[in-house]
Amino acid sequence: MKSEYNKELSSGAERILAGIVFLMISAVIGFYMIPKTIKGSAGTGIANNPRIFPAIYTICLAGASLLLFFMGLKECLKHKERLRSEPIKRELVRLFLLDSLSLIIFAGLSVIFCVLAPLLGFFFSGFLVMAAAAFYLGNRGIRWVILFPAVFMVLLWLVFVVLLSVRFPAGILM
Amino acid sequence: MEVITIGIQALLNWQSWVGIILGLLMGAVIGAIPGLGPNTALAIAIPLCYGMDPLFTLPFMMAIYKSCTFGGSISSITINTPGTAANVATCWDGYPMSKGGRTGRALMLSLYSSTFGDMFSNLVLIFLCLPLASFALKFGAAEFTGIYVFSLLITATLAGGGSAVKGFLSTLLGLLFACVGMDPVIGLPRFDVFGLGKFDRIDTVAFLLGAFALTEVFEQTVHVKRKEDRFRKMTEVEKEADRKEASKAFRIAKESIKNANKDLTWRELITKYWHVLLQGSAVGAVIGIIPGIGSNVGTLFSYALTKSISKYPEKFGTGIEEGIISPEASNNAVCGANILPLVTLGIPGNPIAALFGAAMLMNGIIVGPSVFEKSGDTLYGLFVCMVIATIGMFLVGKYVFVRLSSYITVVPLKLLYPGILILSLAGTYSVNRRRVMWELWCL
Repeated sequence: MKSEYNKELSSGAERILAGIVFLMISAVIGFYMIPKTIKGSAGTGIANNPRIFPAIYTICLAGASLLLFFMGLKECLKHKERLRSEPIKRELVRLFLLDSLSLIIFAGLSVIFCVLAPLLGFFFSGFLVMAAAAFYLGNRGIRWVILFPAVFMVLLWLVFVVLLSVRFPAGILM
Repeated sequence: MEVITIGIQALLNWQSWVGIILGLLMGAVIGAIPGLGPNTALAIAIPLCYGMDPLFTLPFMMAIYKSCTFGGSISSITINTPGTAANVATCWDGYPMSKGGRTGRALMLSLYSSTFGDMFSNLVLIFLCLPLASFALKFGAAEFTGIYVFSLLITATLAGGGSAVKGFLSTLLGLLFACVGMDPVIGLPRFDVFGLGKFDRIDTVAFLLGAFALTEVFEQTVHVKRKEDRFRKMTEVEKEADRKEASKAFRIAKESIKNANKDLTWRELITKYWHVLLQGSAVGAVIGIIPGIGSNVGTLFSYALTKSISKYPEKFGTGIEEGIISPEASNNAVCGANILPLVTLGIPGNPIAALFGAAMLMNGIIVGPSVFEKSGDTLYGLFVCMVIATIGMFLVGKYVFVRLSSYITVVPLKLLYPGILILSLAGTYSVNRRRVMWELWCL
């Protein structure tokens, strides 16, 4: 998502943040997921240990995250004076939050769909999620928020169920 | 001779023709919509091909890819918004030409050069595929390990958008995701959370749809929402002025496109710009073969090369014809060439090749050096269909899409993206043969 504020905000800060996030991910994988979710060696020798490749990748991931973190830190220190003299504009922060909200809402709608589909049925949940997404993006009026998603879901049903014989979770509605 | 015979057999198959025609139409429409590229188009197309004949699926997907790459230039030229990442360079000279009232000429230049680059790429694929596959048959475990390590390294170097560390992180995350499921050597489950470990692996299609279709939808909705907010804050007078501006742009584009068919001939293009066409196509084909590089890099490289060897580099960016020919020939020349490492070595060089690999696997075609021994007839059929698809792209482009291109300004994006979101979810579920909801969660 390249946007105006990316140019303004220091890329160093982004790298520091990304480095921390990836380091946390590798810590969770390395210290929790690998010991808890992968069974140990099934025999003698490295080839018989299912943990070996995930462990190698996780160590490399942690190393690369640290590298990214330090690269970001170096960059921030280089531009320290400039960052102090030019405070981040409020409008840019507002824009960043608005963009993040859009991403969260759409990702949230996908999650809601996954929860609702087995309960209410694939097509009804799809209709609800599509109507909500259309409303959020600024569509107003029954034609765009209700009718268009309904027609779209009928077409989807015709293509996947009638034409391709795919069986979707029916739920209580369809 | 065998290739020709099998190719003719493929041409007699009605499913191939339906696949090509549908693919061309779908590809050009999706490509022309700003923000939606061949990745999304192919990710949406895979579920539609489930259970179909390989001679429908593969020509359908290839036609989508080719047509989508050309379709992306339509919005680059008419509204200065690249339809796909590969059409960025086309904006630089295409839009100034359009603003100067030469939209029709610019679109025709784009179509003709795309067709040239595409045909060049088809020939590269057809003539190099068999020798490369025969050579690769001599490879042993050591050679394959070397090739896989090389492709992972090159992907890591190029995927980070200028930062090798970021590319390396992405590659490692990809490798960790590939570890989910049964260990292929011992058969013990790995990352056994929520029952994930008992499956072979994360479904490729679910993963690809999530990585390409959904991320693009998420990213584009941010832009749509921002545009909508800006529009809502406008006063009534400003809104009216905005509408008038859009309708004026629509009228100008429509007027210029009316006589576009008479604007350019093959003879004129080849006699005047043969060197630019050849250079763009060659750059595209070479870059297409190298794993990890896509059409966007090829296009920018080709544009920069044409500019640097031009007698008048200062005119680039002002609406010069070479500025459209070079990137358009190049981005379409990548199309066939980047299938080459996938088919012969089993290495998907970029996301599009990975989607092709998934489609081939869905049809029981296992890519790699022995692909010609096991599925040679389907591949020879595909090669012939690719040539037909290129000719079809030219005809459909010339007689349908260039004429309709002015309508790109009126596509309701705020309705389109919710639809794609649902289509991706439905597609993932339909491809998933186990029919369990967790594939959707993976997505």
